[in-house]
Amino acid sequence: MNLAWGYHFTVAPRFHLAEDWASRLLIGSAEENDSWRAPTAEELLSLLLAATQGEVCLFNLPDHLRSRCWHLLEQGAAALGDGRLPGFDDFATRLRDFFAFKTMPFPENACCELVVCQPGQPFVPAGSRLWGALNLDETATSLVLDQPGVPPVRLVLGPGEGVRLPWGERAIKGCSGKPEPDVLLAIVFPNC
Amino acid sequence: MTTAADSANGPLELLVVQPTPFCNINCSYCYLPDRQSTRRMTSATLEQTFRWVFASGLVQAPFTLLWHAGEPLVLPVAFYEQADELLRRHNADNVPVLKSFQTNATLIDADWCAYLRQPDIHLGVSVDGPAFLHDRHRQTRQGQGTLDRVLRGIHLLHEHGIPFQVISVLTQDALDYPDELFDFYQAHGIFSVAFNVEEIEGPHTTSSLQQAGTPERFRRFLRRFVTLAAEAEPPLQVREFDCSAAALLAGRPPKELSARTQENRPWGIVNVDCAGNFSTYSPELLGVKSLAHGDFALGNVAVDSLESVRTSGRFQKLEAEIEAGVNLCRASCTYFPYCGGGPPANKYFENGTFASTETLFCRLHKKVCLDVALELLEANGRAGHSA
Repeated sequence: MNLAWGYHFTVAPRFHLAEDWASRLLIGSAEENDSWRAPTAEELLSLLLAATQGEVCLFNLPDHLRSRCWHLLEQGAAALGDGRLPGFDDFATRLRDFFAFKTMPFPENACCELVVCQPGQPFVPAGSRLWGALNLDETATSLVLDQPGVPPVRLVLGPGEGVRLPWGERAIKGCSGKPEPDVLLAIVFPNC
Repeated sequence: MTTAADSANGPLELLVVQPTPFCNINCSYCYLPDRQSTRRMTSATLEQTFRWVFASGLVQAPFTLLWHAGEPLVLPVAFYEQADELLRRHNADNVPVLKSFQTNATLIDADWCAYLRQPDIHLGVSVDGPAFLHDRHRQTRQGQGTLDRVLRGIHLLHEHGIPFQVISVLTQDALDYPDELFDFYQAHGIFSVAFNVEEIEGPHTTSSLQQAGTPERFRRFLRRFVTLAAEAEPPLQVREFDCSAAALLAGRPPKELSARTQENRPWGIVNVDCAGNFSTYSPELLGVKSLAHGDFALGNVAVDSLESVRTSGRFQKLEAEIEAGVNLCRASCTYFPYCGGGPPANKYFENGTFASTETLFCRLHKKVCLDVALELLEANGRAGHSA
């Protein structure tokens, strides 16, 4: 088994997640689609040790920001005409302020995209690279990191939880295992 | 400059009574040296306390009676009902007295709610936020977190329609979590919060907030928290901002710059322990002994009159040193017009003498709070020339 994923998972500094968050990491099968298992102790060590260059940082969004986003969605659903959600720019500014406070600012040229996608489908907008993503839904979803040469890794994200990715990742997709669409916020570098 | 004689007679603003030093939990930052003792105040001492207070001449205006310094709710409701009766009996002039409890809320039940819903009672609940912050410091003697029990108490208060204010102690780790604290208060129907910084007092001889860079971290925390609080519906009241903004907007007229604060002026506060020993100035001094000053308890309500204590050499020496400290603050600190001099207990526990100036408490709870309040007031265009 090649354990060199080239990245490891950690909770972002100045964020708090439940202590058992690592139990939500699953390893996929290269041969069989949608077959997931808990990592072995050796695999888990590899996924958590800080010896690799890439760091997948887990975080969670405060409830007041997530509520604000849903409020916008509820208020703006009827007003959506040109694809711009009224008030979303203000929300994105608040989000930017929040991450700046946590000393995990997202880059100046990154922008926020609300994404509603079918389970299992790539959700990064075409031509974009991903800085991070978070689950805005009330139910858990999963992100799958699928890189060549290593088994895919699935991370279950609870409501309001998200990840910052190290590479500007393209090989990531949603995987909730539920029939309803996922509601995600993608923070992307556009047009890359 | 004031002299001891100028400010000798209070008036009393705060009477802190310790019905028992015992606390049913064991917070890591607690300053009470004797919190495992289950001694309790007798009826006789309770009556002597009120008799002493009303005979002292210090009661010249409404004041607050605070049950604190130990968990007051470990005593039964009947104790406080008796206290109410004794207070009425000795308060011959019917001076309004606001009764206040500072509690960890773990013992609140329906009987307590029936008592606490009286309109002249103010309730303060100590809770430090979500479990990962609260349970790290506010634990039982067996090391278990207490948040679940606190939240049960808070839920009961809501059920019975009893308003309360929350006090949260900020430690170093809390400074990264203003949003999480805000969410916690919103989720639990908390509309008024006060932040105490983790102080160096009594047996708690170090603070996580002594780390380098803390004032800037605290500044960022407070700025963000107050901004969130102001946008809440209804707005969340934050004592540190409200008090600092009020001080900035009012300022102190030059003629009042000689006035001292409730805590550093003699007999503005009277503290009485469960045995009837009493002190003045910072409540945290009661129960502490000093090489230079001996016991900070200056007398006992059973045997010592105010006059006998006030004329004692021990009190005169204490007052002289505290006054010297206030004068040093006045002479050296640009924040003095909005502060009035630092609390004596912080000076003593941090600097080893009352005749000193800046403390960790000053740097954080005074200077940073005033700075942030000024900054936000100016940003909102409300500061005007007075600030």
